[in-house]
Amino acid sequence: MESVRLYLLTSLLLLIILSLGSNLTYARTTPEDILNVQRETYNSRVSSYSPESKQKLETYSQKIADLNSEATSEYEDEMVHQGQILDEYLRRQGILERQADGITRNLSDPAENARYWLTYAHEAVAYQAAKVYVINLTGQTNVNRDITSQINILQSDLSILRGKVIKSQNIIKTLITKK
Amino acid sequence: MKKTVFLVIILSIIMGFAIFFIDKLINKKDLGLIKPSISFSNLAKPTSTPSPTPKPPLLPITESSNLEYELNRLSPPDYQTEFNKLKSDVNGD
Repeated sequence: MESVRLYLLTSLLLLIILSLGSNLTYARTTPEDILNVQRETYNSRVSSYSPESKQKLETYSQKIADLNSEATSEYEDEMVHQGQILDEYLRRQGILERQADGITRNLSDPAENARYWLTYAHEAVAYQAAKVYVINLTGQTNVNRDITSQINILQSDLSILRGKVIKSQNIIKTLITKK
Repeated sequence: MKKTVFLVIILSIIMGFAIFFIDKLINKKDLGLIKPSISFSNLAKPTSTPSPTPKPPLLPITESSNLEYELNRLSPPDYQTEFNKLKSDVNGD
C-alpha cells in the first residue's frame, strides 16, 4: 500500500514539474523569438536552393525592406505634419490639453480625440517601420510565389497603416472645420 | 516516511529538469536563456533608392498657415504602382 502511495506521489510530482517546465518555455516567447525562428527556418531551407534562387530571394527581400522604409518614411512625414497642424490649431484656439495619465481618456472631447487618433496612427507608423519581413519558403520551385506572397503581405500591412493615417487626418479635419 | 517523501520530491524535481533540458537538446530548441536583444542597428538597413519624382517638401506650419489647406495637401500614397511593378518584376525574372 505504501509503495503504491509513493508511486502515485512520485507520478503526481513529476507531472507538476513537467507542466511547469513546458509552461516556462512558452511564457518567454517574444516577438523577437518568433522573428529568430522565422530566420532560422529561412536559413535552413534556403541552404538547399540554387545560387540563382538565393540571389533572387536576397534581392527581393531587400526591395521589400526598401519599399517598407520608403512608405513608412513618407507616412512619418505626414504624421509629423498632422501633429504640427493640430498643435497650431489648439494654440490658436487657446485650448489647453489635459495632461494624459495613459489610463483614462475622454474621447468625447474633440481635441483629446484628435490627439488620441494622431498618436495611435503615429505609433502604428513607427511599428511598421521597424517590421522585418522574412520570406516564408515553401520550396525552390515556388520561389516566385513565395516572394509574391511576401509582397502581398507588405501591401496589406501598408494598406491598413494608410487607413490609420487617413483616419487621423479626417478627425483633425473635422476638428478644424467645426464651426 | 518523511525521509522517503523528501527523497521523492528531490528526485522528481531533478527528473523534471533533466527531461526539460534533454527535450530542448533533442529538438534543438532555444533554452530560453537570456541572450543579447536585437538592437535595431543590427537589422538590415535598407539601401536608399532615389525617388524618380521628388515630392515638394511639406513646409513647417506657422502662425499664418492656412491649416485646412495644409491638411488637405496631405495625401498618403498607396504605392500601388510600386507594388504592381515589383510583382511583375518577380515573375518576369
